[in-house]
Amino acid sequence: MKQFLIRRILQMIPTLIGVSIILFSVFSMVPGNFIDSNQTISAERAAELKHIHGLDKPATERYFIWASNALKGDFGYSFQHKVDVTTVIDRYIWNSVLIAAFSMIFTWIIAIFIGVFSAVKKYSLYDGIITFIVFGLMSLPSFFLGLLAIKFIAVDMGWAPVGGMYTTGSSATGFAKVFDLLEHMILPVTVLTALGVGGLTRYFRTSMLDIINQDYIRTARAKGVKESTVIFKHALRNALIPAITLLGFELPALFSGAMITEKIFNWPGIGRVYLDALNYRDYFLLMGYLMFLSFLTVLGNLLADTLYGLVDPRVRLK
Amino acid sequence: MSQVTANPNVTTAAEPKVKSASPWVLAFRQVRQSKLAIFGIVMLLLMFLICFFGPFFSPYTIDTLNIRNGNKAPSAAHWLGTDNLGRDILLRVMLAGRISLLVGFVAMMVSVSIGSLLGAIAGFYRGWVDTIIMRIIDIMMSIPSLPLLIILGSILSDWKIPPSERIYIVMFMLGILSWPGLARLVRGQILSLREQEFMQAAESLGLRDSKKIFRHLLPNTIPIIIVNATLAVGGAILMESVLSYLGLGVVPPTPSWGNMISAANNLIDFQKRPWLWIPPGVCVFITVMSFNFVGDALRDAFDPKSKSKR
Amino acid sequence: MKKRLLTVLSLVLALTLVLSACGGNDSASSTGNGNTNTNNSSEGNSNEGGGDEIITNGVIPASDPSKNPAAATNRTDTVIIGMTAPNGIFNPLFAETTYDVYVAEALFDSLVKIEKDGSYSPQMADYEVSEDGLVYTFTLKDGIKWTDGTPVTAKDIAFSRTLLFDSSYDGPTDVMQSAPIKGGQDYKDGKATSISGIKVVNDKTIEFTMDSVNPLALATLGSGVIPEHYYGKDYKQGNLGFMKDLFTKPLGNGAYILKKFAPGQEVVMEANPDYYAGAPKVKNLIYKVTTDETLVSNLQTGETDMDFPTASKDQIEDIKAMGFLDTQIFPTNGYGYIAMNHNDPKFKDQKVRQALTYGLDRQQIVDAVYQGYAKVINVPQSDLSWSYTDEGIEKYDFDLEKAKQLLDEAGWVPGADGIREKDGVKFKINFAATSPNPVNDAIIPIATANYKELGIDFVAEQMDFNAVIDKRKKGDFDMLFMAWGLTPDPQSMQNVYMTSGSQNDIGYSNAKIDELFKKTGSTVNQEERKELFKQVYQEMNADLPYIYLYQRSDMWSMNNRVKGFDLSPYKNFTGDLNVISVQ
Repeated sequence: MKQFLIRRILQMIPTLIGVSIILFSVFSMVPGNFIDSNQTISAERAAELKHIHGLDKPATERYFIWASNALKGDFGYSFQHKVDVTTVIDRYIWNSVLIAAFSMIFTWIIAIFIGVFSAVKKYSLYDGIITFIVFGLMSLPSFFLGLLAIKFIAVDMGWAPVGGMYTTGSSATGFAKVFDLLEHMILPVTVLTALGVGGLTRYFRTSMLDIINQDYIRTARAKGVKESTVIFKHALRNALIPAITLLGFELPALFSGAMITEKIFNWPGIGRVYLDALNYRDYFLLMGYLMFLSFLTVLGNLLADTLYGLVDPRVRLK
Repeated sequence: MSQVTANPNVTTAAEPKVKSASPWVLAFRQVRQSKLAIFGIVMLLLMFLICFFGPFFSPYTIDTLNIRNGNKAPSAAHWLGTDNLGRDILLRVMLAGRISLLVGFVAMMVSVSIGSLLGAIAGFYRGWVDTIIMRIIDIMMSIPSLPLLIILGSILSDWKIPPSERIYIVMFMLGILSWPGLARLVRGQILSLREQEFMQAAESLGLRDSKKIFRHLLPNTIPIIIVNATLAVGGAILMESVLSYLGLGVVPPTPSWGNMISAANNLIDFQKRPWLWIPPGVCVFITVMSFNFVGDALRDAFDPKSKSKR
Repeated sequence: MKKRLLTVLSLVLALTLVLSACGGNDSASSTGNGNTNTNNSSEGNSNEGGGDEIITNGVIPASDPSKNPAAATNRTDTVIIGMTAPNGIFNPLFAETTYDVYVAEALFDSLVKIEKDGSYSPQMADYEVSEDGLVYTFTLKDGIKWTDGTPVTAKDIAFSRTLLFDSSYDGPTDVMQSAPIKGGQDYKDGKATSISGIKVVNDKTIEFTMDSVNPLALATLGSGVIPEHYYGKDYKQGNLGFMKDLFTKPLGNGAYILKKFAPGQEVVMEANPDYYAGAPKVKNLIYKVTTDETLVSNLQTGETDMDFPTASKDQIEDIKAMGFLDTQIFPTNGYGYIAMNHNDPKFKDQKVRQALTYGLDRQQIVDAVYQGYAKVINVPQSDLSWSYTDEGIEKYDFDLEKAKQLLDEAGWVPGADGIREKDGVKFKINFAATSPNPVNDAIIPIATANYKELGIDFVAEQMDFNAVIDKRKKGDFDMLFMAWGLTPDPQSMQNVYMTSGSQNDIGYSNAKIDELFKKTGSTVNQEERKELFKQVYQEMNADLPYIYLYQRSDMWSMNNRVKGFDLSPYKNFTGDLNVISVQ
């Protein structure tokens, strides 16, 4: 195991270098750039600005400049925000992590329960309704769900604030502040959870179905073990093993921001900032943020593989 | 998968003389017996037929514009109402179906074939093959699709590929972008499956690798592949609308379900004019649902121990 | 999971692009003013046609102020204005987006301000322009102080203008184009350590000497000022790197003082008690971040007092129904157009351009998108401008027969397949559409159908905004739709239409127009210029550098309890911050 870990960690280095090269070339090929998107400036001024930001150099040279700075911890300067990339990311990313973490916990808990019950009661009315809802949610884009939530929960019922993170102009501190925050999290977390639960439920239902029909489950039932013990102790545990791969995907997802939900609910997260950066071709911000995410992706995959080996002893990772 | 006993698939392999012993054939036989699956197949067929032949019976054409007749609720003349340019929604939904159904299925097929094949190979061979495939997946998963698609859009535009033909490239792009997740899922399962007794049996029989993978390992991962494929069809149909924004999908005035839905993406249309988004939404829903019924039956079929009580 | 991310991502993209693409379009304003930026109103919204009378310039008053929600009426010392998120660049020299400018304008005063009718008047300083139009003298009013108590001096002005010429200045002002001060280039090149054209006469007075006459210089010279003792202490020529640390810690002299900046959430400001024009009546001013999806809901629940909804029939009906919102609506100071590539021989022919205009049902396009809140235009000017004219202007009403006749005259005759051709070349138009964009969504089907009847093969492709800009810069397009913003002084149009204009990237060249712009730029006599601009518009109307499309409307809706805002296409709400009150 130790050897496996060391080897995999060493492999991360060339992988990340590869990612950075590909990302950099992608962004040097994307048509348009931040400076030219402002049509009001003269060609001379545009050239001057490109020089200031080092955009007039060939792409390979720019890559090496970027890479050597990045190794020193300097990820460059955001054109849009006119501050260091790390400052911009730090400003917004934690807000995203906050709602992502909450909704992830809810998503997994709810998906496990729904998945287990629909598997146990396969083809029952309950299973049918769940299937119907899951695919209904999938057939409409998430902004519809967001709009629906705002309309009914916030405006008509007044159960939660329309959007934002804290009450505007509020100077609350301590417990009151936390409560205010939680209240504002209701809508985005609900919507994110509703969006995430669907697909996950299908995965859990499927692996549960697989397990329930296994001989050892039948044996357990035959022995007279209580049904709930059978399901939750014997079956669920084994059904969760394939889910580990899915869990690995969640690490980058925790930090990647939920663009549409953040936008609709006005949540000051990184997802929106990323999209703006892409629309305005804010390359250094894009590079910095995406490199961070790819580090997490690689790490998440490594974690998943390691866990997989630990949980399922039959898996031999060479 | 913690199967303790030998997988029955081994039995089929052990008796190669039996006609149509392939798990695939067995599966399809069983699907035929599922009512829901039949229902799903009929719905999908109907959908195809209506979308491909329906427009010939419509009194309107795609060029019939009249904004004075725009945003009208369903009526006798326009069964599903009109959009803001006064075009008949029913006709547009049918025309859109041609594109969207095609996009959904082709993209899903591409994604599922690449994903399950590479996942199986990586899990089966392990070692350096696994390392290479998994690192490619790491990289693929790290590279955001949006900028890539923007580049592809501009390359196709520079090569002067007619906008109406780009949709075919898009179907494959959609599939290619979405295989890594499935590949990782399949690989994870195969890693575990290949250590099970039935595989040792297959080993001792001296079966060829390809036979081991396709006849014994992959059929056991079918459930997860089906789930992934079902979700992929719906995803691809909706994703197509975004691609058309980047010059990759269909070009207006050609409609697709995805771009019809997202044309109504504001609060006002959402509340006041549900006929703009409900018809395409329902079509996506029916498609995904029907596909899921077929998928469920397939899944049951591949799992002979599952005796569903209906 | 990747799939899920991808899908979510893609849908968001769809939404955001609507905004940013339009924002991008509008940011393309043809102006030399330092503070031009993204006007992030989403272009267009579908709504029902017909119906009652449409007001596009004026006030729609609240019908029933008693419906005002308690959340708003309980807030007696605070005004909350909703807007898109500022990026945290609170500095008048560097603020780039409209929203950063709104913050900067509340914190920093300018030397001159823009009045409701688009004219300039003194704010911090009185000004004089010499006879030859080359020397500008500003004299500061008495008693103006930075919020740390230090008086504002002419040195601060000199410092602020010098920075614009620093070689590392990356703010939005293109100073060499808008206000080329004598000696500025030498400073930029590092050949001089100060700018010879800037002369501090005494503590209160400063003189700028220009290289050439430029009617747009006043806007740049008279813009915001920052204190030298605060921003200048680490300044070395050619290195403004320290500035980024001060963007969120501004020291200004405006009506309000920054209290708190919560990125993506709010900007909290407090009245400046020592403000030289009298302390503002409203103690707290908050800019709250809102989005297109929620801004009306926020107004409705009373969480915000004022916001900027899209001017559309549906939206206005909703707002009217709420009863407690006053809406100020006015024509947008800008216009939408379809550009043609003048480097392509087929578009060089004036008759072809006229035919393409006659042969396109522009009214239908505009109505489909704006349902009455935009009008078809035939000259590139707002009808509120002093220079506007409709004398001798052809209206180009939709007329397929006339269009066909013009194409015949131009030598484009129908070929065997019905497509017109000339010298063996088929008439085919590649339309590069920014996307998603509701205007393009209407143009494409209508133009495809209309031009098909003319015997023209119209093929559209959609791309994101920057990809279209890239094509435009490379000249790799036939037609595209975009929008320009306008400045109070029409002279800035020379950048768009003169042969050598910095924004003329479509290859348009017309000797008569070049000549006329030279004349309008070399005189300050308003009557004379008015007459000359009339000729400019008549020539543009006949020659059609673009297919002119529409001028739409903007509106601000505000809670009835807030009084004192008096807005126009030229004047931001920030101009009224020190006079507004809350009931």
